Amino acid sequence: MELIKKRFGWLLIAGTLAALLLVPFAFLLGAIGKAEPAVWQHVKETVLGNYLLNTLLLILATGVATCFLGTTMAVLVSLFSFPGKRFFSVALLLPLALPTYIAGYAFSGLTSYTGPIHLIGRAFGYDGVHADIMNAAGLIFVLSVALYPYVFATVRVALQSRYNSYLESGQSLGMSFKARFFRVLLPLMGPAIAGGVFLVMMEVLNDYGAMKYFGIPTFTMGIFNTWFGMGDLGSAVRLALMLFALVGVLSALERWYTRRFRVVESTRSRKTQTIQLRGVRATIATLSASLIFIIGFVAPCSYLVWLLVDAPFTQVLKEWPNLAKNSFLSALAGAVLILAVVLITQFVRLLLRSKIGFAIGKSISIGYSIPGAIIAVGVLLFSSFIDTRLTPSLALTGSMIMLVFAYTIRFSGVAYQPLHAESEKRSARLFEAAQSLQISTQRIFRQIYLPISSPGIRLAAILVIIDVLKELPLTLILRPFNFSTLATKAFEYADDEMLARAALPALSVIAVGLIPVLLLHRLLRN
Amino acid sequence: MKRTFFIGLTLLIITSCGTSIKNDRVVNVYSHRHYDIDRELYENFERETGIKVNVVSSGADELIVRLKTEGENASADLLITSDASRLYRAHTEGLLQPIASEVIERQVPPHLRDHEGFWTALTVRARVIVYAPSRVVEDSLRTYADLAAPRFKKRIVARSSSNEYNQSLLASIIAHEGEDAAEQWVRGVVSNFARAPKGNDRDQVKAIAAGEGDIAFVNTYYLAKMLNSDNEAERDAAKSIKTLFPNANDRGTHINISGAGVAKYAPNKAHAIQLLEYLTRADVQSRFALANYEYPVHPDVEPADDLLQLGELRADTLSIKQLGAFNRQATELFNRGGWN
Repeated sequence: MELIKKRFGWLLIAGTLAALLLVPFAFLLGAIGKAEPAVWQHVKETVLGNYLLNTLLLILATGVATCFLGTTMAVLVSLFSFPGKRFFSVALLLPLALPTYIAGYAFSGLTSYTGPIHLIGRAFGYDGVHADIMNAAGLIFVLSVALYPYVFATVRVALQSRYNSYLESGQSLGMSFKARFFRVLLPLMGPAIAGGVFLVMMEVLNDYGAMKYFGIPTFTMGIFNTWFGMGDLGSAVRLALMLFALVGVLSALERWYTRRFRVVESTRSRKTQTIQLRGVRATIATLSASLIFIIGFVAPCSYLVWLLVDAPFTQVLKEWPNLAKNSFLSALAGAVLILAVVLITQFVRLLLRSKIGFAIGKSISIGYSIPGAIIAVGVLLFSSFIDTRLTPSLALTGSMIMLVFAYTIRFSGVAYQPLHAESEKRSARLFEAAQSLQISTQRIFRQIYLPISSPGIRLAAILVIIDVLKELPLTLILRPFNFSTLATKAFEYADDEMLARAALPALSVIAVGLIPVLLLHRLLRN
Repeated sequence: MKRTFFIGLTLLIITSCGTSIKNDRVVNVYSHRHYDIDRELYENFERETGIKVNVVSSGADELIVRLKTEGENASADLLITSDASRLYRAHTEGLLQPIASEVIERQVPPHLRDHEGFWTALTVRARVIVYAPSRVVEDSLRTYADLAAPRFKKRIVARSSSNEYNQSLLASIIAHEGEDAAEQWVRGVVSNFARAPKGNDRDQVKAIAAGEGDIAFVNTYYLAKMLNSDNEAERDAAKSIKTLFPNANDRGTHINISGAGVAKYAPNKAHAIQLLEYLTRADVQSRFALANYEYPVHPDVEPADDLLQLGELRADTLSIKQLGAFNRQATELFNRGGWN
């Protein structure tokens, strides 16, 4: 209590920030009661079961697939040496830059009747070489190859050096490598895998473009349809709440698991020794990594390049500098704001070690589990309220400020994960020491908290930038006049069924996204 | 120091990305149409009048929700959608205001605009049936109702019912034949599906070319665009199918419009009307409609040759308003009939 009084100013700032991020949700909750009974009844009777089933199927199947792909590749790259190892440790991250909706369009184009695979087949006299991937199984495939890097990245971080001593103890106890892997390493990696899979599931729940194109009715689509299609905000918010509950269960499972298998970090952290693979094993390792890289990244990108060959892109080229600037600057603005919010709230949480601090720290990550479209309308209701009831002079509605604010609500949860993990580990004792030495809170923030969080800050900034660059629903709904990003441009062309014209902006989203992904690689390596 | 720099940078970014919408010589457009030709025509309008055209483009549903939520603060002057039911909804939700313009009345025939002046069509498109001539006997297929006939079991491909063009088609069937008949139609078509609904209009044409199904229904401009595609395989796919204008001998083929209405709280109403008059003007119509292979609304402007080659359009004269009035019912019928 004493502590809270002393740090009241900090608590106030953090509380205000968190409250600001939550206000739009309050406006939405107000709409629940206004759900039209007829619409809700109709949704419940006809489509709800299907939404639930498809959503569960997608997140579970994609979760399992990315868990397998991401973990095996991370283990391969971190613990073994084989030809191309260094290359693959970067290459396998690259699909992070590929938005799922672009992957969806690319894979369906690639395998379609007018796509290259079919055409090559036809050239050799085989007609009918086109796989129909536009179904649930196909979507799971597309999402899995596009999203496995989330697991790959988190597991790689975990494998960096921390478990070395455990492996060595296992070795000195005479355990075989297989036994050490399954009985020591796998349980230790558990929390990292769970964290990665959780991120994947969140991405799946928030995909809209690919699901819509593939025609798989899920919660996210249902929210769009009942709201925008049937005009009933209340029922849509109810669906969103059900989705939120689902996320709550997933998140609780992840926390329970992580806590139960909390890893006590080894103090002797040295570089993990790798095992040299030779002969057939080395070949298999190289081949499997190449296969995943080719399918997950090379294939969709080459298809887009192939489209580019005949595409008329003078118009896009004219707008390109502006689109790239908008994409990049909005991502940067989002990252700066999000980091400020997350750093301050997490600092206060660590500083106070009380329930209020914890609640504030946790509450800012809520937006990550709510579909962008829902957040967008919450933000619209909020800005409209300020403009109408409080002060029209700000003209917030339809302004860039509100868009960046919406990014902050949506993606603070992304930055929360790495910063949360980082600060948890190291700062507790340091803070206690600093406080007992009567060092001012500001100095603790600047000279202790920020420096020790810096790896987390960099990771968080990179993840946020990648996410904002790919972001679609918030930008589409909230953007100011004459504001387009590479992502919205790519989506518009694809939506107008002009995939060839979408190729250039789509490739640009990927290219711009590669910069933070490569930075991420550097971060993971050190 | 570092902190000040970052705060400054953020503010700079936030303020630099917006463009002025408070200026006097502007018109602010919320548009679901985002074709390159639209941008070109806006630029031409800017040169002619000195009025700057500001655009937010997004889906019509999203734009309507935005317009509604923004209320009096909305800076939009004009709402452009690519489907009649969305204009109707914007109207019934009180988001539009009526306008009177003799120019528009002269340039757009009465059945293509609201008689109270709440909205007007800008272009027209028809939803036609396409089929594989080698596998479908021409006489067996004449109307939309035929699509539900048991003889076409496992032969029809379609896109999802969340698509507004399908919703408007069903709305027209409800308007003509009543809800019960329409529900029967949905169930009949669903039981004829060769595969679950998915993809966009072009994908349906490709599916027929690939032999995954024999019959589909698509918007006319997609066909003309495929025939003029940069991709040879897509041109071949479009050439391999035949087009049928359904119900040509009775009520006419279902048409839909892309259209526009002036927003209720439009700060630049006069400019919005000026832009509408411009977009429906004969010389602009010929570029506006032709570039996208749509039917022009201006009676003096001929459709593009590629469009005429598909066949002769005898359009359903059902009031466009009805498409909006039955939209909700159509969505519900689709859900009930299991057309996802």
